[in-house]
Amino acid sequence: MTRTPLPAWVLVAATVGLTVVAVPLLGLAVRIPWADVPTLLTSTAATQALWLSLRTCTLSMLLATVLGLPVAMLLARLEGRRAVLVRTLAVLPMVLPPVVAGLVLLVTLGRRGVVGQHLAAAGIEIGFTTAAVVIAQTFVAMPFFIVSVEGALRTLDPAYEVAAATLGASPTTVLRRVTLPMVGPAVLAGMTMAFARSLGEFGATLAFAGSLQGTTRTMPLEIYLQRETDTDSALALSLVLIVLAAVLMALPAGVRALGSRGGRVA
Amino acid sequence: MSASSIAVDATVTVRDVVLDVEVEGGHTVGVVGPNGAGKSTLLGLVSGELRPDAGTVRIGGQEVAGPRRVVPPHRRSVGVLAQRPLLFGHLRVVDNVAFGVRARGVAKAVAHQRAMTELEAVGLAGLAGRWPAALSVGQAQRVALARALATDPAVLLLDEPLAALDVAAASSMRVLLAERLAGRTVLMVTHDPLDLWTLASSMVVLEGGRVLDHGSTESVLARPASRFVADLAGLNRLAGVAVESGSAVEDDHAVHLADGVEVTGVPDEVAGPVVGQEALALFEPAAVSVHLSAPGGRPRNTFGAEVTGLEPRGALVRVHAVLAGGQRASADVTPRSIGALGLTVGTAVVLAVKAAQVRIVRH
Repeated sequence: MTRTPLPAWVLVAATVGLTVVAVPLLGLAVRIPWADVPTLLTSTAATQALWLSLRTCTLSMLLATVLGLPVAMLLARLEGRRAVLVRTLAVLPMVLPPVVAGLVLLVTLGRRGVVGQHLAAAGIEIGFTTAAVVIAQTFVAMPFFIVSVEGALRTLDPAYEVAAATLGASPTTVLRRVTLPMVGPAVLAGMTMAFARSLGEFGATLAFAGSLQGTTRTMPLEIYLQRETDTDSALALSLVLIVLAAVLMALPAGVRALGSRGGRVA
Repeated sequence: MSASSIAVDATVTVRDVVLDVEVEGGHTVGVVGPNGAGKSTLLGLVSGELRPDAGTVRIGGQEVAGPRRVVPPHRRSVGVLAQRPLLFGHLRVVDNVAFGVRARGVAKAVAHQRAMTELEAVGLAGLAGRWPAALSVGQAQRVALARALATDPAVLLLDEPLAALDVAAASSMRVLLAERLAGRTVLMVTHDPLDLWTLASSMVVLEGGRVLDHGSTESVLARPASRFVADLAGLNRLAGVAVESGSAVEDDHAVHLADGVEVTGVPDEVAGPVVGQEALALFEPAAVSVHLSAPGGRPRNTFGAEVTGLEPRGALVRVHAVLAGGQRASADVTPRSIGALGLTVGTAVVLAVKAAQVRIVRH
């Protein structure tokens, strides 16, 4: 269907809006010592931070998916006050200041924390380990996954699930072969959002996991540390994060475009 | 082929539905009724989507819902074909048809084989590898039928299966249904009398959450229990009290309408009127002529009426009118006479119908 053309002032305003985003990125592109980027990125500190980030973010993404999926499914079926209550709890970490998130994790799971002291007694230390990084990232990233999948589940036409049930599919089979494939794009979008959020995680990680090179010092922490002493290195690492973030954001849309070209939309 | 009976004797309180419906094994029963009559509730009770608050639902003599236990939909062996095909967009046509067989734990190759057999039966084996999005609505509905039958359901529920199809697709689907439903136990909700005549052997009329009438399609449509059924049968239906006819013609009877008008007609052979009791005058819209003033000639019934609507029906126009007493009647006339008489909504007219074309039945 053809749409009415947008008024010219909208185009002008949109250009201004996009400029606000584009100019700082250009600023980095101008300032960055392009020739030195390969060397800067192969320093021990940089590669360690990069691998630590990729490893922990992958784990956090998977944890957010495994733990977030049941929450999203439950949330999509709730109505009224209970839905408000559960949703508020589930998405709270999304709007919580990250440093507060790190603090609540520390006082709960840290060595002297409510739960942590028992774990410590059993010989399990979480605070200031790589596990703490994963927990901090999962804590702040899971709401992004839940929100994305819950929305898709809510708008899913229940008639398909009912049809599957009358064909003899048990609730688990319906979930596995109908519901999840139908909300597949949203699951993928939620996973990339969770990964991207984990990748940028700073405050909660610093407060709960600290900044130990190779153990808890992820990319954002490394960038923060280097920004005064070795600006070029910080800029090179920033470039990596920008590229990763851009790829992650383009991924779900790209997959959707491929899918619809195959004519797989019901 | 499995052909279990269905017996619903159940109450759903929130919907104010109390139903007692039985379907003999191997028969197709049409379910009709206005919106909110309880048609979906009836299908939901059999499929297992709804639980009765009281009473039981039996399939093949086995209780699937009752005070003690409720069998969930996926363990009921009830096939459903709805108005929309509801094919799974992420599965190819053949995998859609194999879905139910696979869900029962049948090996993939065997299920695939079964799906191909069903697709051949609906004439679409050539489309097995397609995605549902690449099918026409008519093709998709055929695939949905194949998918429902692939699991060999004990009973089949059809919920207006032709309503979303265009005329050509609906008529070829109707032929296919007649072929594929033979010998099965089927409950079919429809709004189309053609479906009732071609696919069902008997019918159930629901209104206000209760069974208003049931019996052979012929008998139910011949003596419509409500205005809704009369419309379905394409009949005008005027209700009143039977009186002896004042007419000279022998065997004539009359129905005295509330506003004092009398309708004279021929008593029904099976269910003739009883004088002093409620009776119906039935006649086809094609038998009604429309005039601006009372026409001469006897024996004729005439009613003063006001036009409430004009509805094109092929080469004719159906004139809907309301009689002085509030009852409704319609007449089929040519577009030319609409013009000649200057008919429009609100025109005061006189409807006339010959006594010989009116059937009087007991109500």
